[in-house]
Amino acid sequence: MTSNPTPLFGKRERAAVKDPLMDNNPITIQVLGICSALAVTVKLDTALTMSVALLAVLATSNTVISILRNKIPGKIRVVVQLSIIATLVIVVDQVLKAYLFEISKQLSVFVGLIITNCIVLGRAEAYAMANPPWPSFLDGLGNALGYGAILMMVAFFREVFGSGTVFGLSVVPASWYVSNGGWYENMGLMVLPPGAFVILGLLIWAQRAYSGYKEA
Amino acid sequence: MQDFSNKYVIGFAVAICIACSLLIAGTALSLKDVQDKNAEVDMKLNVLKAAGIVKAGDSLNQDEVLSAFEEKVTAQVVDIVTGDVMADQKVASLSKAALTADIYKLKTDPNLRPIYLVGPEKDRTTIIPIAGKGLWGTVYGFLALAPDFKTVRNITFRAPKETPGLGAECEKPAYRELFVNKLVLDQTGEPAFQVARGSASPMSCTQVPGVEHCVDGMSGATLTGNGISEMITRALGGAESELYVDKYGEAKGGYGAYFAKNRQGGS
Repeated sequence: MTSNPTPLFGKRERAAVKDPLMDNNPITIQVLGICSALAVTVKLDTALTMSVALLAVLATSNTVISILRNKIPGKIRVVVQLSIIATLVIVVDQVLKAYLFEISKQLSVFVGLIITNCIVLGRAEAYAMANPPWPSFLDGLGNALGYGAILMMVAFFREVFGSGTVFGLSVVPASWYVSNGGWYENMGLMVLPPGAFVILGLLIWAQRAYSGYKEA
Repeated sequence: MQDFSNKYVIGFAVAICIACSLLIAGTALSLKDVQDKNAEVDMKLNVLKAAGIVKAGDSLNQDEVLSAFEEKVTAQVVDIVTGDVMADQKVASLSKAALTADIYKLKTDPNLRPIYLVGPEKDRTTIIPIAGKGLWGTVYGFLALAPDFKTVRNITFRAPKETPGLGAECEKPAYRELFVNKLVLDQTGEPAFQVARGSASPMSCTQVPGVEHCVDGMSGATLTGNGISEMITRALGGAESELYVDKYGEAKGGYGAYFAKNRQGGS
């Protein structure tokens, strides 16, 4: 516990949210969580659900682990962190199965795989174990938003070019399509995993050029 | 970092375990009703899809699914050993395993199965549940047959455990299209159907009389394909042959007896 009370939105708190959005983004800088970024980004609605699910898990797990950080014995800390994360993931999965059944069917195993998402355990170990609950919560929020932002960008390009829709609404005029006598065809590559690799690679390039990141 | 005693470490681990399990159990229990309703609606939606009433791309809310099912589908319970329709039994009271024909989980009412009838009496579509082994878990589905009980009108699959892009391809409309108008019984009325390895040709369809009993396999999913061949043949065969009755005397075969009876008595 810190001796002097910290401001609610001091420098550290702002940095905890802002850094992972740009200059320390978990996907484009640290290249974590790639598996799900490739798997659930064919459509925007699945990407959004996945982002919200990760946000719920990451913000809560960081907060809970941070509250317990002085009570968790060092020898079993990773097991304890994993139990807490796994519990939260199962709860989120159950809620999705109850209230977003269709989308949860499409996400299938990937919500369960949040347990093994390096971002969650990474933030628990690197931040929540060493910081008080409020900054830890913000750190979880920031990292989840950074993850979600990239997911939404990848999903946006994949859905527009792969299916010609945004959130399921057509954006490419129907008369453009070859089947209707036009000249346009959806890009099959975008609905397949390699399409995500290409988009993600371009995003990582753009981000790193902007942030001036150098591989150590 | 503080040095904790062994007692504390064990006590802490136990406390975390109990807290986590209580939280999970509480969530699972409180959401069970909503999830069960989702599963029921999903099953009815799949029947409607197999019947061709709901097309791919249609979006219906839960109440629309339930009312469409109520209105257009006649659900009956069949004793698959005798082939009789059990008029005094309700489909809703069957166990989940019986409803999905999930023979691996069948414990209660072993011989009773649902059957769904759609359309006018002269040109009625008969829909039966099918289930069998995929590569990683059970693959479920519904098979819609023409009045001759021989021609496939439609088929649906649900393969939650299969690999996306390989075995789970069977869920895609493009693959299911291949089954339409295929024959599932041979000249003598015995079940004959095969998912080929590779594309369906006289060379690859060795277990059946001709390519009209055979569909293309899914690349990279031979075992899922074998499971589909097996579940369709079993669903059409008799229930009583020794092969399909396990040590508890539960019938694990198909609707053969019902089809035999209704083909003679009917058209």
